[in-house]
Amino acid sequence: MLLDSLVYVVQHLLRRKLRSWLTLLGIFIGMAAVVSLISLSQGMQNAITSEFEKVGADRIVVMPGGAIAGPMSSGLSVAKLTSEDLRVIQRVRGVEFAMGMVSTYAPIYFKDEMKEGYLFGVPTDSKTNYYIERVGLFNIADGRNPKPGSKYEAVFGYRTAHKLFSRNITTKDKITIEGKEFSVVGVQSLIGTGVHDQIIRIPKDTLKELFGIGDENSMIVVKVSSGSNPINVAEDIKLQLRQFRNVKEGEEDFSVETSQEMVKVFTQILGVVQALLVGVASISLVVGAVGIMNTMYTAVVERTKEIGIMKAIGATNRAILLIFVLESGLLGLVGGAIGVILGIFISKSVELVAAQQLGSNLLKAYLSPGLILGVLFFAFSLGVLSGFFPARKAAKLQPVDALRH
Amino acid sequence: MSKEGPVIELRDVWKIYQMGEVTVEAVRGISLKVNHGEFLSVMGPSGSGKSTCMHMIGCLDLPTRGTILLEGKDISHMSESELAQVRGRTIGFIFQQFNLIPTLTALENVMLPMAFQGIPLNERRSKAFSLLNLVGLSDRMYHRPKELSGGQQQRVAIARSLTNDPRVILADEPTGNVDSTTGKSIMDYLSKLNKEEKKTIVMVTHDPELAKYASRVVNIYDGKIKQKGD
Repeated sequence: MLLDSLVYVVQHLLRRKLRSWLTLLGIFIGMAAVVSLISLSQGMQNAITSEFEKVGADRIVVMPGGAIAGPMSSGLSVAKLTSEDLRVIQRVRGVEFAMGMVSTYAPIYFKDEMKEGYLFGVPTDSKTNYYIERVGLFNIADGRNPKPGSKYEAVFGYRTAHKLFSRNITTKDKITIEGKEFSVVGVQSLIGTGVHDQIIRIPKDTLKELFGIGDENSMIVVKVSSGSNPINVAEDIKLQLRQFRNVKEGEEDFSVETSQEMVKVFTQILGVVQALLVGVASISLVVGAVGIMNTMYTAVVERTKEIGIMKAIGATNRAILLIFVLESGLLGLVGGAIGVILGIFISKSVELVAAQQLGSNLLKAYLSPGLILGVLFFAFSLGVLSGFFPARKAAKLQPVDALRH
Repeated sequence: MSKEGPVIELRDVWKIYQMGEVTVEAVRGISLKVNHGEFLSVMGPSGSGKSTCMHMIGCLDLPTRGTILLEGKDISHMSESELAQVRGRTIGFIFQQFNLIPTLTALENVMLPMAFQGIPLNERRSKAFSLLNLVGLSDRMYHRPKELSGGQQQRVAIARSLTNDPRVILADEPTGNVDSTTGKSIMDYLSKLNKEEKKTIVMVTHDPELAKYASRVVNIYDGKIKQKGD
């Protein structure tokens, strides 16, 4: 019976008026919005997670400021992480290596051009260089790292080297920062984390001297020794720093984050954003559902006689109900399918534009089979649900009244 | 079910409509027996209650009072689902306006009643094929109703009425919407079904010309049977 009804419904839909198909517009716009928004935010989440994975699970980042808001909060904080703090951290059990870095934005001069650049002050001693080379986040594609003791040597991140100025920066070039001439000694390979590709790396002491920065660090990066749990080590660092800085638990003027924790925070924030966007998209789905309901009510009125005929030739109330519910379910499903295709198209376009215009690899569409199947199922259910009441009305028609219509 | 007893029996059947303040008595105490293999013509002017009567015989409507027996079974108090089953299995309808489903082809229209009875697709197809052959429409199977003439549509309707091998065929002004030549061929066909297939036929008409095909004529006037033709 189900299959027969389905065949009947499909035949009917294929021979239907344009008006009924226009009803789908409401459904597929909503569905396209849902598909593109979810796939983009899912893709963004994946990209962020993979960035943190590249950074490594054995990494802990200590920053001044209490909030877990990432690097942005460090500039707003009055609290400073000094070399004393760094030493405290280095003494914590399970810390293999800890390095303080300083960062700032500054005008960079290259030939006739001046561009704002993101300077990363990194120590150049041989131990730091050893870890930098092992970490894989500062890999050199061309040239070398600054030599220990060198003052005016710079290494360019991949994007900074290729995108910042109108001409590509190579190891033969010279740039000027705060009136001092730097030799470009290396260009990094494409790391893919966003941050590491956007920097200009110079010796930490030089940066502090040029910009008059005292004894402070923008962030301290810790590598946890193998066999130690990063979460436990992070807790120990917190404890030691609290004691050293004489602050109570819960009132820390610094933050200690493992990469896992940071992923969690970003995932939570993205989850809220995602819920909000889907909420907005659902409004159009409600409109679409009302559209289907309206079409189905019209169809019941238009086809009253047909319903009477079907009843006269032996259709039960259930058969009529099934036919109409299937019809609206199928309308929803087709709307959902068009919506999915449109949604994929939209999210892929956004991804393309983001990659080309913004140089961001964060906006990536992630289209999971679960999302597509879920949307299709939801669209079908929405159709069935909005078609139910019109269908029940059709099923309850008295055959003799329907025939007289 | 015995083929000797009445196929249809109406016992003091009333149909009363309440239209606002006004009460309309469309059928007023009709008692009638239709025997197996009979060709009964129910005649009467429009508004006489003959169509209401036929709707009740066809299980499309229930009487306000009285009893209707179809093959000895009381249908007066059946649920809508039970009535649908009875309609599908026992009765074939032929309407004045043909009442084919406009979006379906002739073949699909003939197959439809069998779908409601859960008959497998292959069987439905072959039966619909042979029935359309029988009514001479083998070359029009894939045409939709609007591509067929009135006579052709009525022949599709006749084929459709026969699909579930019903014992009773109810025809409501079957020639009302076709020209006289086509009308004659349709009547000849109904007559053949009655004589050769032993189908019980109840035909509602106001045309005395058609009455001559019937084995018995019942006249309804003002919701009651006029006795002289009995």
